[in-house]
Amino acid sequence: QVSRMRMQTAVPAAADEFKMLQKFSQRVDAMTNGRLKIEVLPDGAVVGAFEILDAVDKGLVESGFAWTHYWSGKSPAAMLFGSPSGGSGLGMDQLAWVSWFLEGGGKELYQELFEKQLKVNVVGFILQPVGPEALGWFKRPIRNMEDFKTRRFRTPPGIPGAIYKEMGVTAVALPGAEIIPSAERGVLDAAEWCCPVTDLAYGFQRAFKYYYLQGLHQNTVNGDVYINKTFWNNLPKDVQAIFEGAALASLMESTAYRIRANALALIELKTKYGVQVMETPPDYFPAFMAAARKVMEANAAKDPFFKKVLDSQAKFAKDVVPYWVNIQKLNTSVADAYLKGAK
Amino acid sequence: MSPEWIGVWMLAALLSGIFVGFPIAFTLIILGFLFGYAGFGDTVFYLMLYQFFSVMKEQTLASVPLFVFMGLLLEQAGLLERLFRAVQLALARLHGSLYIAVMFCATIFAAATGIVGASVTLLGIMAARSMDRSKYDVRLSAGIITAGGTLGILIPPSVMLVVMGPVIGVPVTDLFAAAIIPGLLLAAIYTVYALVRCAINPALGPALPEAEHAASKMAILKEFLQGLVPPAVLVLASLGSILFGFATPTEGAAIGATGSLLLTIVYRRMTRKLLYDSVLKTLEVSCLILFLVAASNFFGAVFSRLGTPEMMTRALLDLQLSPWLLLIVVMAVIFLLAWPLEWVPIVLIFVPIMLPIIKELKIDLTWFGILVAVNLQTAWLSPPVALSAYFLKGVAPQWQLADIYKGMMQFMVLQLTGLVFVMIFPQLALWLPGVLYTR
Amino acid sequence: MTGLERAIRIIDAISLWTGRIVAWLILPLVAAMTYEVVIRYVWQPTQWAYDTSYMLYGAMFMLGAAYTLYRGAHIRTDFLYQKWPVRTQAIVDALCYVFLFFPGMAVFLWLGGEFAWSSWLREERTVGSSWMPVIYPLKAVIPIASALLMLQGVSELLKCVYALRTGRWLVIHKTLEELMTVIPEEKREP
Ligand code: NA
Ligand code: NA
Repeated sequence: QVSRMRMQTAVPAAADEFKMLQKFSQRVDAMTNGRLKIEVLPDGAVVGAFEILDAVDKGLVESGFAWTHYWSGKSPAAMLFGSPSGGSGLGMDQLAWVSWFLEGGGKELYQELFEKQLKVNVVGFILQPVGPEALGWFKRPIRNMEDFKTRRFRTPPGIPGAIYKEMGVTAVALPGAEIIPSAERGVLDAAEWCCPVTDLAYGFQRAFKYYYLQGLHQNTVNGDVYINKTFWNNLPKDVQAIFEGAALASLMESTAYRIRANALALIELKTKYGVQVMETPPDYFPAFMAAARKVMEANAAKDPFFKKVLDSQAKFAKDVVPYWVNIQKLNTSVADAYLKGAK
Repeated sequence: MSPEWIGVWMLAALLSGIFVGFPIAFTLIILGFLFGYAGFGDTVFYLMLYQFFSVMKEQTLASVPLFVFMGLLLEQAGLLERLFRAVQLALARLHGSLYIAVMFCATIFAAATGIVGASVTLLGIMAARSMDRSKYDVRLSAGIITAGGTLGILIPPSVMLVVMGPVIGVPVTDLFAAAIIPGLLLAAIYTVYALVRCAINPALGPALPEAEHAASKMAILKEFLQGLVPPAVLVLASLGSILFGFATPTEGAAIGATGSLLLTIVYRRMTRKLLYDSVLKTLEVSCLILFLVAASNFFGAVFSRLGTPEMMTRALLDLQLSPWLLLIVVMAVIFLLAWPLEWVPIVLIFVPIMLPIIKELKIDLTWFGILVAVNLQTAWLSPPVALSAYFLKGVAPQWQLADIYKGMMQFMVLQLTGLVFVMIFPQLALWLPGVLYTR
Repeated sequence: MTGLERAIRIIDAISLWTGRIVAWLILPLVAAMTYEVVIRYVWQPTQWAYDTSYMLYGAMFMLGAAYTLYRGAHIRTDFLYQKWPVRTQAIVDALCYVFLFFPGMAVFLWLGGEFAWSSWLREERTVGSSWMPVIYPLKAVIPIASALLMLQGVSELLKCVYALRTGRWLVIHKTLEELMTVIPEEKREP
């Protein structure tokens, strides 16, 4: 028995996410011996990006791909799964977050989000980590937070944007498609989108020359697939297990892909377009984390489920972040030693 | 019947059902419901909900009522007709001088707006009655207004290129730079065509009668200055704020509206009645445009959900043709698809499916994008689903829809000529981005 | 005036007044966007102008749809329609309203109501900007707009009945000529 699953994504067909999903679809096809066929659809094919979850819930498409923070208007806690800024203000990096999700109780809370908070007939799978995303692009360099505050900066929408607002940054809201034209014509002084490989494809290098990689508003970002639960329950048990396994494999594969692809894109940005890669001013980090904690606590005070997720992450971070930062220092030291030796 | 074939029947039903004479927006909704329900059940109703809601949140489309309001205010206050009058006076001995005036304004508007609806409506409001009064040929007039107005989506800024960039993986700025020369080329072709037609048959665009010629060069200059001041102020306010980087197109449209409010007050034309009329008419014109945009988005979404577009494209790929022949076939298919569809489903659904082949053939993607863009210009001028005809009919009700159709079809042929030019001379598209972005 | 005529006049008056009210939304739209541009250079951008702009525009064209139907301004491909006798036009229109328009709009009303209701229950916010305003007012526009459209549809259907009885249209389907002339509806006001 062959099941066909349309997947409405939030990305255009040329996006990396899309290509990785096609690869994912081929793998599932091979592993199920052709019993589950996934057809990946570009943004807008059936519905627009912000209607994906509703469309999957109603069965308009069998599945969808987006980032969970897209639904933070329905339940603010969605943001703690999709793009927990500054690792939820708790210092988790992308890998530490995945550790929380798989080993620290995140997965159960994630299903609770769909069932009890968003109340949709959907099962979700995190499968494409994107982070860390860059701080963004600037027309003129910034030396410190005072400089940053004077720039008209396109921030991501929702809670990450609210954190910048809290920091006193001049946040401008613009739809993705308007960023480059607006930047070229001077509406913006600075903007963020994603990361080297995606930003290169969008053409940010045309409008900006200074690129700051180290940013916190989306240091952790997770793309996920939503499947209509009725459709999911009708799949044979082994097909379900295969899908879950393929989603886990995709976590690793996406991570591996992004490390190399971003590095290569950065080389192209520097050599072909003369982009200058800058160090983020040190006072950015404490300022951001203070604002992030404030915004997180404000949300936790308003929404019990937000508090429940944040508490789970806080407990995890308390145990894990001290160990993990130690190991990160090892990574920095060994890489620095290599780079100095290579000169 | 497979869903794909239900989609084929839906298309056939549209092409006949549209002639029943029921309002088109509702016809699209109803056909979408019927065939969508047959193809994939009651989820089609949710599809309508989500498509309408998406259009309601589409901030760039907020420039439609703003540009309409700006145009209506100026028209009601009688501040724009003088420019046409002035151009006509200045070129009194030339047949078809208003065609030049329309294309002049069309090109300026195209550089100010990224969408078609606002341009066509504004031009229609400004020019249609002047052309009637001067006894211009209705078809040629309607053709040049619709064709000139559709340049808005080719000459940057362009909503279509913004959407297409990520789809084909080319920076939007490259596409913008690449579209400028083909856009101006089309403008030139339209103008030359209208003037040649007038030279052959002067009745199509009569010159002013000798008695109405200006008394002196000074009189012309005076008229010209007086006619030019209001639009010049507005172009500075609206287009200027967009081009010089103070505002996004939607904001620029609002600044234009504010500017026209101020002008109307300064010229002492503002009355309560004028404001009330302009506001109500803005609502009517914006509603008929935007409700139709939402309805056709829904119709297109049903069509894609049925899988028909994919079936049609795959049939094409199975033919195994040579690169040039395939490019020509791809262009022919897009041209045919643009007949019943608008550019949105074509850019979002068909282009990605054809893309792997185009890449395989090592065709320059920027060039390909511009070919698609120029080709899709025809979607606006191909009846019966030709939104610009309805936009124009909305503001020039005295013109028969049949005449508008016949006029715009002539210009559709000119667009194809432009497409052939860009196909033969890729440098028309690729030269400017090369100059701007090589280091 | 017959009861039929009176019913038509009353419904038309309701649609006319919704139009007269909704039409003024253009002014805050102009004001909000202009203010945004000016204040961005004088001081700093607002958090609210972006969301406000699409909410005003989206509410405007949906809530104005019934008024536009009353005005006969939704575009028709009418070059065949025009040539038919009045009674044929009326029959075709009536069939379209009864079997296609009303069922379609009823579904839209029902689902739109559900859409807005569930959004209101969870105080749903939009993630388009960092302002994150509540979105249910905009969602509520959908059921309100479809209710208004159905109401005006009743009037249009009654006009078909009138045309079938008398062989002439009570209100000539406006040729949009009036769009360019001054306050035509004043004369037809009930
Ligand atoms: Na344009
Ligand atoms: Na068309």
